[in-house]
Amino acid sequence: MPHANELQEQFGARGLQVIGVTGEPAQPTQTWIQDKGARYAYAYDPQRRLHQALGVRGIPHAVLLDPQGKLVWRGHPAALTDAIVEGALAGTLPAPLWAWPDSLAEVRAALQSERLVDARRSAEALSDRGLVERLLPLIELRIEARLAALKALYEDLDLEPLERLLAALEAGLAGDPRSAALAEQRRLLAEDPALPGARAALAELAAAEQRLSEHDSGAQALDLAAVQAVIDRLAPISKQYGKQAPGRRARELGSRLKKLRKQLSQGD
Amino acid sequence: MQTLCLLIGLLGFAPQEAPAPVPLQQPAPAPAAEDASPARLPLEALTGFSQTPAGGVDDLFGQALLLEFFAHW
Repeated sequence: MPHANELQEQFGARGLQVIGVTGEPAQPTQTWIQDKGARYAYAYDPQRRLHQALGVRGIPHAVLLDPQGKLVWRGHPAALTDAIVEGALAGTLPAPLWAWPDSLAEVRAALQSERLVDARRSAEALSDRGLVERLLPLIELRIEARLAALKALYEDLDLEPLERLLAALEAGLAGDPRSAALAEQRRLLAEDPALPGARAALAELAAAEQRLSEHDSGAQALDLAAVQAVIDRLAPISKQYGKQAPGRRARELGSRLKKLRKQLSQGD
Repeated sequence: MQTLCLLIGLLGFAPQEAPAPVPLQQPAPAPAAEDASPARLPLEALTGFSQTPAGGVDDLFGQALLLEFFAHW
């Protein structure tokens, strides 16, 4: 924590943003953060998707991404040196999006809504040529990264974010030659025979998560038999989809349900 | 100083201020960095940004990010 505060203070003005990531609920975390005096951003990963994607098994654990989104270092935060951070700062923009001046409002709005062709056009029209030269490569890399993300989400059968991203890019990349990849992705979504089964599995997972959420909130308590029934339904999803998103999600949910089963058993 | 910090990190000792590592439930080696390509990082999973005006990770466009996974105890 003190090291992260120091890094934020030392490098924040040069384009480094430290983000504390937790899978735990907001309220106790915010109390803890205030008690500890964290002076950097923090964010929640309630489904631990980022934890899972990065294979985070022990904490504290830190991951450094450069401004192009490339993972350049990972390890114990105490082992992160100034020299490593310096190496990731090449190409950073002077300020994060929310702090951009009004002259960049159009670029900012276009980026925030995935209108990437508009963002490029607005950036090209800026009078600050130095800034244009820094912005345009980042926008191009963002387009490439979005297209790569689309492919990765499809291979991972992470269908909900895939469909959201595809719809956003169909609007935001219209007119760009790379939008042909979007039409192909749309065709695959319609014709891939594996997808109806994956969609059904994801719907089942969403329903199970909803039931667990209702139990946690006290809206509708689950009894031991109901918990076991849900666990039994998750097992084939975990087996069929393995390391893909439905499989990982089934195991994460199964782990939570098994803890609940243990609590209910002890309560009996 | 940097060399000393790196050496400390490699030896597995943390400075006094650093919290002790807390093992999670399923110990396993972390994947190599190249296995976690940017396209596979579900950064959109991050929600509820606090202590910053960011509404989401997209608001940090063009910045280097240090994601520090932690837990309170």
